[in-house]
Amino acid sequence: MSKSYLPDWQRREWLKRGISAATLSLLASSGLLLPRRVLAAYWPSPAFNADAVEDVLLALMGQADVADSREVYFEKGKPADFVTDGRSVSVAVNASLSNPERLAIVVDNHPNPLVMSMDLSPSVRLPLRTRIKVAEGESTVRAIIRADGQLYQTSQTVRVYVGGVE
Amino acid sequence: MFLTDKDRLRAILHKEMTEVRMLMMHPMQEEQQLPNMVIEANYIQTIHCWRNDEQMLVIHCGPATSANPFFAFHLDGGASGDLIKVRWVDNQGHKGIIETRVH
Repeated sequence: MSKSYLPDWQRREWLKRGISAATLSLLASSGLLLPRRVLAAYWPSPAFNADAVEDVLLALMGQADVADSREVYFEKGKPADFVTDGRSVSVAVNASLSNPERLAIVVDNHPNPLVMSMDLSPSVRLPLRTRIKVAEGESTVRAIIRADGQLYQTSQTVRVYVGGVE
Repeated sequence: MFLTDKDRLRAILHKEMTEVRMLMMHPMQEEQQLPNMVIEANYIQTIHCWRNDEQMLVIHCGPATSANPFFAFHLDGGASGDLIKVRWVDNQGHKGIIETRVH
Protein backbone atom coordinates (compact mmCIF):
# COMPACT_ATOMS: atom_id res chain seq x y z
CA MET A 1 0.00 0.00 0.00
CA SER A 2 1.33 3.40 -0.95
CA LYS A 3 1.69 6.05 1.67
CA SER A 4 -0.22 9.27 1.05
CA TYR A 5 0.90 12.63 2.39
CA LEU A 6 -2.60 14.07 2.65
CA PRO A 7 -5.62 12.85 4.59
CA ASP A 8 -8.22 11.09 2.48
CA TRP A 9 -10.85 13.86 2.30
CA GLN A 10 -8.27 16.47 1.32
CA ARG A 11 -6.85 14.29 -1.45
CA ARG A 12 -10.38 13.84 -2.88
CA GLU A 13 -10.89 17.60 -2.83
CA TRP A 14 -7.66 18.17 -4.75
CA LEU A 15 -8.57 15.45 -7.26
CA LYS A 16 -11.96 17.08 -7.89
CA ARG A 17 -10.39 20.49 -8.40
CA GLY A 18 -7.85 19.08 -10.80
CA ILE A 19 -10.49 17.34 -12.88
CA SER A 20 -12.74 20.43 -13.11
CA ALA A 21 -9.76 22.62 -14.03
CA ALA A 22 -8.82 20.18 -16.77
CA THR A 23 -12.36 20.15 -18.22
CA LEU A 24 -12.59 23.93 -18.06
CA SER A 25 -9.34 24.42 -19.90
CA LEU A 26 -10.49 21.88 -22.52
CA LEU A 27 -13.77 23.79 -22.95
CA ALA A 28 -11.97 27.12 -23.25
CA SER A 29 -9.53 25.81 -25.83
CA SER A 30 -12.31 24.22 -27.90
CA GLY A 31 -14.05 27.60 -28.30
CA LEU A 32 -17.35 26.53 -26.75
CA LEU A 33 -17.26 29.37 -24.21
CA LEU A 34 -16.71 32.13 -26.80
CA PRO A 35 -19.64 34.53 -27.08
CA ARG A 36 -21.63 33.73 -30.22
CA ARG A 37 -24.71 35.47 -31.47
CA VAL A 38 -27.71 33.20 -31.00
CA LEU A 39 -30.41 33.42 -33.65
CA ALA A 40 -33.92 32.92 -32.26
CA ALA A 41 -35.15 29.50 -33.32
CA TYR A 42 -38.81 29.71 -32.33
CA TRP A 43 -41.66 31.73 -33.76
CA PRO A 44 -42.28 34.68 -31.37
CA SER A 45 -46.07 34.38 -31.02
CA PRO A 46 -46.55 37.27 -28.49
CA ALA A 47 -44.98 39.67 -31.00
CA PHE A 48 -47.05 38.39 -33.92
CA ASN A 49 -50.31 38.40 -31.92
CA ALA A 50 -49.83 41.90 -30.49
CA ASP A 51 -52.21 44.54 -31.87
CA ALA A 52 -50.18 47.74 -31.31
CA VAL A 53 -46.76 48.73 -32.57
CA GLU A 54 -45.48 49.40 -29.03
CA ASP A 55 -46.51 45.93 -27.88
CA VAL A 56 -44.79 44.40 -30.90
CA LEU A 57 -41.55 46.20 -30.09
CA LEU A 58 -41.74 45.32 -26.39
CA ALA A 59 -42.30 41.66 -27.18
CA LEU A 60 -39.73 41.42 -29.95
CA MET A 61 -36.96 43.86 -29.07
CA GLY A 62 -37.45 44.22 -25.30
CA GLN A 63 -37.94 47.99 -25.51
CA ALA A 64 -40.29 50.42 -27.23
CA ASP A 65 -38.48 53.76 -27.31
CA VAL A 66 -37.59 54.27 -30.94
CA ALA A 67 -36.81 57.36 -32.97
CA ASP A 68 -36.51 58.02 -36.70
CA SER A 69 -32.95 57.67 -37.86
CA ARG A 70 -31.11 58.43 -41.08
CA GLU A 71 -29.05 55.30 -40.67
CA VAL A 72 -31.96 53.04 -41.64
CA TYR A 73 -33.64 53.72 -44.95
CA PHE A 74 -35.81 52.17 -47.64
CA GLU A 75 -34.36 51.83 -51.11
CA LYS A 76 -35.95 54.34 -53.45
CA GLY A 77 -39.41 53.25 -54.61
CA LYS A 78 -39.51 50.24 -52.29
CA PRO A 79 -42.16 50.58 -50.98
CA ALA A 80 -43.70 52.98 -53.50
CA ASP A 81 -45.95 55.88 -52.43
CA PHE A 82 -48.94 54.55 -54.34
CA VAL A 83 -49.63 50.87 -54.97
CA THR A 84 -52.50 49.34 -56.93
CA ASP A 85 -52.19 45.82 -55.56
CA GLY A 86 -51.68 45.58 -51.80
CA ARG A 87 -51.19 41.82 -51.93
CA SER A 88 -47.59 42.13 -53.06
CA VAL A 89 -45.65 45.28 -52.21
CA SER A 90 -41.88 45.28 -52.73
CA VAL A 91 -39.85 46.45 -49.76
CA ALA A 92 -36.07 46.90 -49.59
CA VAL A 93 -34.51 47.81 -46.25
CA ASN A 94 -30.98 49.13 -46.08
CA ALA A 95 -28.89 50.49 -43.21
CA SER A 96 -25.53 52.09 -42.66
CA LEU A 97 -25.30 50.59 -39.16
CA SER A 98 -22.22 48.54 -38.43
CA ASN A 99 -23.78 45.70 -36.49
CA PRO A 100 -27.51 45.11 -37.11
CA GLU A 101 -28.84 42.18 -35.07
CA ARG A 102 -32.57 42.09 -35.67
CA LEU A 103 -34.84 43.63 -38.26
CA ALA A 104 -38.62 43.97 -38.11
CA ILE A 105 -41.08 45.16 -40.74
CA VAL A 106 -44.27 46.60 -39.25
CA VAL A 107 -47.41 48.03 -40.90
CA ASP A 108 -49.31 50.30 -38.51
CA ASN A 109 -52.97 49.75 -39.37
CA HIS A 110 -52.96 45.97 -39.72
CA PRO A 111 -54.89 44.06 -37.04
CA ASN A 112 -51.53 42.43 -36.14
CA PRO A 113 -48.89 44.99 -37.15
CA LEU A 114 -45.82 42.74 -37.25
CA VAL A 115 -45.23 41.41 -40.77
CA MET A 116 -41.86 39.72 -40.37
CA SER A 117 -38.82 39.71 -38.15
CA MET A 118 -35.31 38.62 -39.04
CA ASP A 119 -32.29 37.63 -37.01
CA LEU A 120 -29.09 38.49 -38.83
CA SER A 121 -25.74 36.84 -38.25
CA PRO A 122 -22.65 39.11 -38.56
CA SER A 123 -21.98 37.99 -42.14
CA VAL A 124 -25.34 39.08 -43.56
CA ARG A 125 -25.21 42.32 -45.55
CA LEU A 126 -28.20 44.54 -46.23
CA PRO A 127 -30.19 45.55 -48.28
CA LEU A 128 -32.82 42.95 -47.60
CA ARG A 129 -35.47 42.78 -50.30
CA THR A 130 -38.85 41.12 -49.81
CA ARG A 131 -42.57 41.46 -50.57
CA ILE A 132 -45.36 42.10 -48.08
CA LYS A 133 -49.14 42.57 -47.98
CA VAL A 134 -50.52 46.01 -47.10
CA ALA A 135 -54.11 46.83 -46.16
CA GLU A 136 -56.35 49.07 -48.29
CA GLY A 137 -56.14 52.83 -47.73
CA GLU A 138 -53.26 54.76 -46.28
CA SER A 139 -50.79 52.86 -44.10
CA THR A 140 -47.39 53.53 -42.61
CA VAL A 141 -44.77 50.89 -43.34
CA ARG A 142 -41.94 50.88 -40.81
CA ALA A 143 -38.61 49.11 -40.73
CA ILE A 144 -37.04 48.85 -37.30
CA ILE A 145 -33.51 47.60 -36.67
CA ARG A 146 -31.88 46.78 -33.37
CA ALA A 147 -28.13 47.34 -33.29
CA ASP A 148 -25.95 47.38 -30.15
CA GLY A 149 -29.02 47.50 -27.89
CA GLN A 150 -30.61 50.51 -29.61
CA LEU A 151 -33.57 50.76 -31.97
CA TYR A 152 -33.47 52.67 -35.25
CA GLN A 153 -36.45 53.10 -37.52
CA THR A 154 -37.56 54.49 -40.83
CA SER A 155 -41.12 54.82 -42.06
CA GLN A 156 -42.98 55.57 -45.24
CA THR A 157 -46.64 56.22 -46.03
CA VAL A 158 -48.12 53.95 -48.69
CA ARG A 159 -51.51 54.39 -50.33
CA VAL A 160 -53.06 51.15 -51.52
CA TYR A 161 -55.93 50.84 -54.00
CA VAL A 162 -56.80 47.13 -53.57
CA GLY A 163 -55.92 45.84 -50.11
CA GLY A 164 -54.06 42.67 -49.32
CA VAL A 165 -55.07 42.22 -45.68
CA GLU A 166 -58.58 41.97 -44.21
CA MET B 1 -51.52 23.91 -52.53
CA PHE B 2 -47.81 24.48 -52.41
CA LEU B 3 -45.35 22.68 -54.60
CA THR B 4 -42.08 22.24 -52.74
CA ASP B 5 -40.39 21.18 -55.99
CA LYS B 6 -40.96 24.63 -57.39
CA ASP B 7 -39.22 26.51 -54.57
CA ARG B 8 -36.35 28.50 -56.03
CA LEU B 9 -32.97 29.32 -54.54
CA ARG B 10 -30.17 31.19 -56.31
CA ALA B 11 -26.71 31.96 -54.93
CA ILE B 12 -24.45 34.07 -57.10
CA LEU B 13 -20.85 34.99 -56.32
CA HIS B 14 -19.98 38.67 -56.73
CA LYS B 15 -16.79 40.47 -55.75
CA GLU B 16 -16.34 39.75 -51.99
CA MET B 17 -20.05 38.96 -51.64
CA THR B 18 -22.54 36.22 -52.27
CA GLU B 19 -26.02 37.19 -53.33
CA VAL B 20 -28.81 34.87 -52.18
CA ARG B 21 -32.33 35.00 -53.54
CA MET B 22 -35.13 32.66 -52.54
CA LEU B 23 -38.70 32.21 -53.62
CA MET B 24 -41.04 29.77 -51.90
CA MET B 25 -44.24 28.54 -53.53
CA HIS B 26 -46.68 28.93 -50.67
CA PRO B 27 -50.20 30.45 -50.49
CA MET B 28 -49.53 32.36 -47.20
CA GLN B 29 -53.23 32.18 -46.35
CA GLU B 30 -54.74 34.25 -43.54
CA GLU B 31 -57.68 32.87 -41.57
CA GLN B 32 -60.92 33.96 -43.28
CA GLN B 33 -64.47 33.86 -41.91
CA LEU B 34 -66.78 33.29 -44.89
CA PRO B 35 -70.62 33.08 -44.54
CA ASN B 36 -70.76 29.29 -44.40
CA MET B 37 -67.16 28.18 -43.97
CA VAL B 38 -63.85 29.10 -42.36
CA ILE B 39 -60.62 29.04 -44.34
CA GLU B 40 -57.82 27.94 -42.05
CA ALA B 41 -54.69 30.02 -41.73
CA ASN B 42 -51.71 28.52 -43.56
CA TYR B 43 -48.50 30.52 -43.69
CA ILE B 44 -44.76 29.98 -43.40
CA GLN B 45 -43.62 30.78 -39.88
CA THR B 46 -39.88 30.22 -39.81
CA ILE B 47 -37.16 30.13 -42.45
CA HIS B 48 -33.60 29.11 -41.56
CA CYS B 49 -30.68 29.72 -43.88
CA TRP B 50 -27.27 28.06 -43.64
CA ARG B 51 -24.00 28.38 -45.49
CA ASN B 52 -21.76 25.31 -45.05
CA ASP B 53 -23.42 24.31 -41.72
CA GLU B 54 -23.06 27.83 -40.35
CA GLN B 55 -26.36 29.52 -39.63
CA MET B 56 -26.69 32.83 -41.44
CA LEU B 57 -30.24 34.08 -41.11
CA VAL B 58 -33.53 33.26 -39.40
CA ILE B 59 -36.72 34.82 -40.74
CA HIS B 60 -40.01 34.70 -38.83
CA CYS B 61 -43.07 35.48 -40.97
CA GLY B 62 -46.65 36.32 -40.13
CA PRO B 63 -49.66 35.94 -42.45
CA ALA B 64 -49.05 39.46 -43.85
CA THR B 65 -46.04 38.29 -45.84
CA SER B 66 -47.03 38.12 -49.50
CA ALA B 67 -48.05 34.87 -51.16
CA ASN B 68 -45.06 33.05 -52.66
CA PRO B 69 -42.68 34.88 -50.32
CA PHE B 70 -39.46 36.25 -51.79
CA PHE B 71 -36.27 37.24 -49.96
CA ALA B 72 -32.96 38.57 -51.23
CA PHE B 73 -29.84 39.51 -49.28
CA HIS B 74 -26.06 39.37 -49.45
CA LEU B 75 -23.50 37.37 -47.47
CA ASP B 76 -19.95 38.43 -46.76
CA GLY B 77 -17.26 36.57 -48.66
CA GLY B 78 -17.98 33.10 -49.95
CA ALA B 79 -16.41 30.86 -52.55
CA SER B 80 -17.56 28.98 -55.57
CA GLY B 81 -19.01 25.66 -54.45
CA ASP B 82 -20.33 26.77 -51.03
CA LEU B 83 -23.50 24.96 -50.04
CA ILE B 84 -26.47 27.23 -49.30
CA LYS B 85 -29.34 25.48 -47.54
CA VAL B 86 -32.78 26.89 -46.70
CA ARG B 87 -35.42 25.15 -44.61
CA TRP B 88 -38.93 26.45 -43.96
CA VAL B 89 -41.75 25.33 -41.66
CA ASP B 90 -45.34 26.56 -41.82
CA ASN B 91 -47.96 26.75 -39.07
CA GLN B 92 -49.55 23.44 -40.11
CA GLY B 93 -46.24 21.61 -39.87
CA HIS B 94 -45.41 21.34 -43.58
CA LYS B 95 -41.70 21.61 -44.31
CA GLY B 96 -39.47 22.27 -47.25
CA ILE B 97 -35.73 22.09 -47.79
CA ILE B 98 -33.93 23.80 -50.67
CA GLU B 99 -30.22 23.51 -51.39
CA THR B 100 -27.95 25.02 -53.95
CA ARG B 101 -24.26 25.57 -54.65
CA VAL B 102 -22.73 29.01 -55.13
CA HIS B 103 -21.52 29.50 -58.68
